[in-house]
Amino acid sequence: MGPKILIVDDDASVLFLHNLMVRESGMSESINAFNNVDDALIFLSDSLVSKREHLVFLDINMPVKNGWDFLDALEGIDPGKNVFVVMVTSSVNHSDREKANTYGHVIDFLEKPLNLKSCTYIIQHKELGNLFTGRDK
Amino acid sequence: MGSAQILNAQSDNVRISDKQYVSKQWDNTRGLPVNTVFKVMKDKTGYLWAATEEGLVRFDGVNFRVYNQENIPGLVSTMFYDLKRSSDGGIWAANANAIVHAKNNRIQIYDARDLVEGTWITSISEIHNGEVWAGTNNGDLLVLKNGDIHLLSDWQKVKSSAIMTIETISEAVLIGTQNGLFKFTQSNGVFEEMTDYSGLEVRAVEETPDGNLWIGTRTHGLFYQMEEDIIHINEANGLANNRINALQLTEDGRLWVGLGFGGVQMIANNEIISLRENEFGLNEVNDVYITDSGIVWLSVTGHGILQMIPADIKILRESDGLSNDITLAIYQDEHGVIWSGTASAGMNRIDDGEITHITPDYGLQNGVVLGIYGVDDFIYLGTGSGLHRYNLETDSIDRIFTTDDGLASNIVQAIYQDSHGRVWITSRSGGIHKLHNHREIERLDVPESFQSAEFINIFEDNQENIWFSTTSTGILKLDGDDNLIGYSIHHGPSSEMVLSMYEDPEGNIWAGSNEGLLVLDENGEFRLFNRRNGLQFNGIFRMIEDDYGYLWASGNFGIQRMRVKDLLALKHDETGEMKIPVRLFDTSDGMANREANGGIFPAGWKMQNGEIWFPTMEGIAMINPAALIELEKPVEVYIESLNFGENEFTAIDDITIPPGTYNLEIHYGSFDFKKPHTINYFFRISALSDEWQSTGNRNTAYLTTLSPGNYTFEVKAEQFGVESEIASINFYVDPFFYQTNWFRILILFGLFIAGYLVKAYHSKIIAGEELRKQVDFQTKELKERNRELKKVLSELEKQNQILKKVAWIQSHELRGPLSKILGLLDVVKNYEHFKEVGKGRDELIIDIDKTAVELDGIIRKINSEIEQIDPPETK
Repeated sequence: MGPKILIVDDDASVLFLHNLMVRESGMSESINAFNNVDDALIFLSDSLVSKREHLVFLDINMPVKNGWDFLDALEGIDPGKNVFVVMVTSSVNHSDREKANTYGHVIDFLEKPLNLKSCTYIIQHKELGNLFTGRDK
Repeated sequence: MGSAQILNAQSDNVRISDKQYVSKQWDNTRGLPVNTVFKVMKDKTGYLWAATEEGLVRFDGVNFRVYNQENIPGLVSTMFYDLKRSSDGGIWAANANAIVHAKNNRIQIYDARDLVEGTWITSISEIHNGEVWAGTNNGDLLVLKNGDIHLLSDWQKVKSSAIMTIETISEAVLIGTQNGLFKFTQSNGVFEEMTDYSGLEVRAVEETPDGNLWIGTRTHGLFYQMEEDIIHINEANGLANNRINALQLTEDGRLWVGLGFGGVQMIANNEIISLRENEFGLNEVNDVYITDSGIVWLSVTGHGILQMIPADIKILRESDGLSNDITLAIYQDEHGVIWSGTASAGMNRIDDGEITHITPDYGLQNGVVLGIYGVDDFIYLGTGSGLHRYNLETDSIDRIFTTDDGLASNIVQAIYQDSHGRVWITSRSGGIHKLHNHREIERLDVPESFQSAEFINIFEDNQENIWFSTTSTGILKLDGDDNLIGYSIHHGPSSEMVLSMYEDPEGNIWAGSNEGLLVLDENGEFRLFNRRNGLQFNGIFRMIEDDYGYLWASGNFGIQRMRVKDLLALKHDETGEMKIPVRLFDTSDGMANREANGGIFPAGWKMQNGEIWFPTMEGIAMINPAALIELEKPVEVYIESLNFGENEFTAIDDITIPPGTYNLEIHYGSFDFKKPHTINYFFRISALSDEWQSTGNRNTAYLTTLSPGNYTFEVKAEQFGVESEIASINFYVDPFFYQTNWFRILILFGLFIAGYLVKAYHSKIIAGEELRKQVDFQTKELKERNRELKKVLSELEKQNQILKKVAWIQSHELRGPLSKILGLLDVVKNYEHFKEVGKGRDELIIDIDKTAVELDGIIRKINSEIEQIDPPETK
């Protein structure tokens, strides 16, 4: 069934695109899209995050609560760093990258929109270890 | 004193050979702290020290300095009773309870309070072995040896009563006590009493060069102790008082005696001489001190210090036998007899010290004698009532010549016999006459302009010209061919009065006018020299050359002396700026009145013995030029101290002055006790100026703030045109930190680095002319543009904010929709490759369209932002 994928973005078109790409890439069947941070956080806190099975594609710029707010809250929900986060943004500032490095959950940055190529890259991401391959072993 | 006579004011005998003194008195109105002085003494440096009950006083001729317990640490009593020279050139002073050593500015105290309880130190002397002995009023002898004071135990056995004086003589020490005289012989260390004086109070002792002793007692007068005999001198022999306080021998063998009452007397060749100076009313003289230069200092009870300077100019006065103090024409005949006219009392005849008066009793019709001259056996007198002929054989006036005899006027001014034996008589109303055979008067025709002239002076030069000078119209010269030539001494309205004439060794004629000295040059014109050229005064009455190369010139301000060779130099000087040294003689040199008399003939005479006599308003001034040659010796200048605030340093100190000191004073002076008021001082400071700065007669130089560094202050004194040697004092002014060398080096180093950088930069510029031009241009341009740039900069900062915003919009807002469109288009393009898209192509295209509209809105927003920016190029 694969890991549980969360896509957080306020733009519906983006959610559609990213959902499509993740599904089409065969990354996982379990895809959950959220157009706001709070819903995503509720989902995670309801889940059992003691296992390594969650990967979040997170947008930074969102109204009400942005990506950083999400990361801050995640520290409380998952201090054991079992949730992996990939930041997905339309532009990657150096300052954003610096800031993201202070959050232990963030494993990488990707440019919007996700495409099949970037999804394949994530599947093979070394930080994710056997999240995708060795789940049955 | 060759003659054995006792002189006094009533004597008819002349005091010519007597000593005369110029007296000055110093008391508490003139710098002394108190009017009773016990002793004065000069140290080797030149200071005069005085012992008083109000301190030890130091004097340099002008300034007094009082040392007492207020300014000398360790001094307890202000009372000083005795002084003696110390072998190191200073002074030993007997303080009431201390032995004090003074030298220049340094005072050293040896406290003897433990040993003089209930008594005081009265006397002091340094003995042969360097010990200092001090006697006390209870008879003890204290010894100062190696800095310690103790009682002299050997003396205790001999001791009887109060010690009055201690005198170190050639082989012994004499101790005069209230009750006898004691002798300590250095060779055997034994004290013995000189029994001849047992019971006498011995107050003063002097040893003569041949080893005899003068002994002064309190009640029994004076004793002269020879090897075998004693001569006793007391009131019975002519001593004014039997109480002797002080004795002082002079180099020429005179003994000065300071008396308990009656001032001073002098004993010379066993004669007792009273002095005029007793007129000062000095009763008790405590001490007589005579310096090497012969100045006598009397320490007097109630009268301070009386300074008696041997007069350089002696005065013969009415009190010495003249008929009148106002003296006029002076003449010495070939027999050595001196004739002197007076203003109202006829003529005096001075013959080998004997003065007789030629008064109206002798047939003189008028007491005023204007002119005197001897011809053959006659002395001619010019008076206000004709020419009188005094017959030396009959000792009477035997003929009077008047206008009836052919004189132009009865006021006869001058008589002169020239080298050809012609006798000239001049008078008022233009009268020049020749006297023939003591009988006939022949009047000369004088030029029109001289017809009413007053011919007051006759002078014959070496060319046999006779010069007749006037009080109003210059000079008339009679040459060898009997031609009369008139000379005007001035070009202008100045006075034409010529009272005196002189011919210098080069044959030039000099005229003495009331405006100075004039020399007649080769062009027949007179050139004037006056105070500008060093003369002490301008109005010249009479010029006389002595045998030592000096010209003496009298006037209203005294008598001035100058070198003839200086006068020649002055004559040859073409700058007109030259100044020659001229010494002034006046009352401070012995004149009773500084005003010499002129307008008479002769108004001064050089005597056969070389003396020069000038008539004055108070007696005849008698000058012995031979005795005054050494006066050329320059004064000695010294630096007393350098002071700032409470600090005082002397020249031997290592003087460092703190930074920022602004009130530096340097005190200097000279040891001139005769005429200190005639000294002018000049100073300069090395590193500041080579020019000498005059302080006049002032003894202090005030220096304001000096930069840090080493300085030498130099001072010199000038008196009558003669300069002293230079005295100097070195000092160092400390720098502030920012004035120090290390700081300067630091600054210098900094400057060097800066300079190097500039140089390096400059070299680069020089490397290419084009570059240099460019830099020049740019430097100018840069200045102009710098102002502009500042303005632009603030503008730019504002615009930069906007641009940042634009950049942010570009990266976030713009790229967001654009990438979305690209993503959607990719899905549409590859629609068939996706397993399940979830949206139809049409739906996707609507999404793309919506996103494109969104993108368009963002671009419009960016445009409106960019419009706020005014690029600088457009300004």
